[in-house]
This record gives sequence, C-alpha cells and structure tokens, in this order.
Amino acid sequence: MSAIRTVVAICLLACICAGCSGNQNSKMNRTQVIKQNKAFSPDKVSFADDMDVVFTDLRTSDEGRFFKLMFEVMNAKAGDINSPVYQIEWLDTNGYPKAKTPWKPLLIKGNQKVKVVEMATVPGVSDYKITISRKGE
Amino acid sequence: MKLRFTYFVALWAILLLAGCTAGGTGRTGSGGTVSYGDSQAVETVNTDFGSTDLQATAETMTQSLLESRYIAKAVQPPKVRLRQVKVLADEHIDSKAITDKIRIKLLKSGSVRFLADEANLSEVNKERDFTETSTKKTELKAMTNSDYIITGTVRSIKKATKDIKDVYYLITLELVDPQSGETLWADEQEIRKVQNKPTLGW
Repeated sequence: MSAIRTVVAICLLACICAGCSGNQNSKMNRTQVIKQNKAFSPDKVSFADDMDVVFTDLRTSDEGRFFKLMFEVMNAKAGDINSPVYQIEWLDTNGYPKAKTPWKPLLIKGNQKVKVVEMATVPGVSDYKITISRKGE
Repeated sequence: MKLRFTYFVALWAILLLAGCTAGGTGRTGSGGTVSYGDSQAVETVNTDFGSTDLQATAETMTQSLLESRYIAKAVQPPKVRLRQVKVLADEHIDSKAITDKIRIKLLKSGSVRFLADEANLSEVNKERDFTETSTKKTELKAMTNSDYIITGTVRSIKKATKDIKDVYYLITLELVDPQSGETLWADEQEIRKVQNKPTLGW
C-alpha cells in the first residue's frame, strides 16, 4: 500500500515538474526582453524595461494622405495576462507633434502576440513615437 | 484672565484667516487634494462608459471612416450630416459627445465637410431669419443637401453577481446615402469592462 502511494506521489510530482518546465522553456528572461526592446530606436519606441512586453514587429505605410503604423507586441511572461497601455504621438517632417492618440489599453495573454494598427487622422504626418507604459504611470 | 483668553482666541482666528487667504501667484483656491490629471489617461474608476471609451471609440471610428472608399476616394470632400446615435443602454451615455468627437477629428483630417445638424440647425435658421429681416440681403441661398448621413447605436449588456460586474458595450456607426437609403459603410467598437468587487473592505 505504501509502495503504491509512493509511486502515485512520484507520478504527480513528475507531471507538475513537466508542466513547469514547459512554461520555463517558452518564457523569455528579463535580459532578453530588454535586449530585444533596445533593438528598436528609443526615438520611436519608449517603454519601461521591466514590463515583460517585447516589440516583435514595426511597420509603416501611407493610407492615401494619412500615415499608418502597425506594431506587434508580445507578452514575454508565460502565464500571466499583461495589460499595458500605449500612446502614439504623430510627428511632422520637422519632428513637431501634430496629434496624439489617447492612451489605449492592451490585453496580451501569456506568450501571445498582439498586432496593433493605428492611423493618423490628420494629414502631414511622417514620423511617430510609441510609448508603452503601465496604467497610471 | 478671561480678557487674555479672548485676545488669544482672536489672534488665532486672524492668523488662520491670513493663512487661508495667502494664495500662490496665479493660483486661487485652498490646498486640498484637487490636481490636474492627464485628459488622455486610461480611466477605470468603474464599469460605466468613460472618457477612455469615448476617446478610443472616436479614434477607431474616425480611422475606419477615413479608410472607407466613400471618403478616401472622393474627388471632393463629401458633405456629411450627423444624425442621432441612439443609446439603447440602461445607463446614461452622452452619444452627442461621441459624434462631436468624431466630427472634430474628421474636420481636422480635411477629408469631410459637415453640415449643421439637429443641435445647431435652429441657430443657423435664426441667423438666416435675422439676416433676412435686419439686413439689406433679402434673398438667401438655399442650404445644401448632404451627400451622406452618419447614424448609429450604443448598446450594452450588463451582468453581475455579488463578486463581479461585467459590462459589454457595442457601439456601431453607419454612413448612409440619404438619396438611396443605402448603407455604404459601417463599423463597430466593442468594449468589455470587468469589475471585481472586494470581498473584504470598508
């Protein structure tokens, strides 16, 4: 009876360890997150280093007279839902701000990527700056 | 002794009043906890339709409308009239605030011209009457008709238990050709807000 209990306990422990190791493998460490985010120009993207949100793609195009931007962010955490907020400042050719979006919330599940598409609603925009932050910061 | 106490109280009262009236340069009012906040910040005070929902809805709808071919491919900026956005939610939502914000954004884009709507049409008519009766101008130009009208609805679904409150908002807008009655563009904005009620609290 005692041997069966031991076997069951070992099996359960093995299952738990297997589950944890799966998450650990797919989780990025903090240094990787910071390194990958620093690959994007700080003039274009500004964020808190310890947010566990990784920029994975950034594209721009023109939609008629309007500047269009697409960026992709990933939650570097394995299990937790990350809910950052972002704001985009639209700049003209001289770097003067033309408009900015309100702070918008994002909801990213663990290890998931989210694509965000934004378009300037004023003409004459040729540059941008994205700020990612936590709510209330 | 009694007189000395009266003097003492009077002196304190004067000092207190002096403290209250001494404001900083260019500032009025007492201290307290009032401060300016970021008007663009994410607001989640409760699950009611708030400033963040209003701003995000206006932004998304404007972007979508500017991308529609009826606006983007128009040779001349089309003339648009805002019609009522019906609120079919069980809370008070100022739908005019949504359409006003969209109108301002569209006007700033330079891609759309707006005609007077129900809110300011009576003021326009008053001015026309005044011009006709009080100036030498006796004949007025007829008002122009709209190429498109914008209508919409705001709906909400609320569910709550003693621990959680869940509210879902659906905001839809449509661009309609008033001549043909055809709906040319429509888009929606979905918002879900969840409030967890504290199990322990005051």
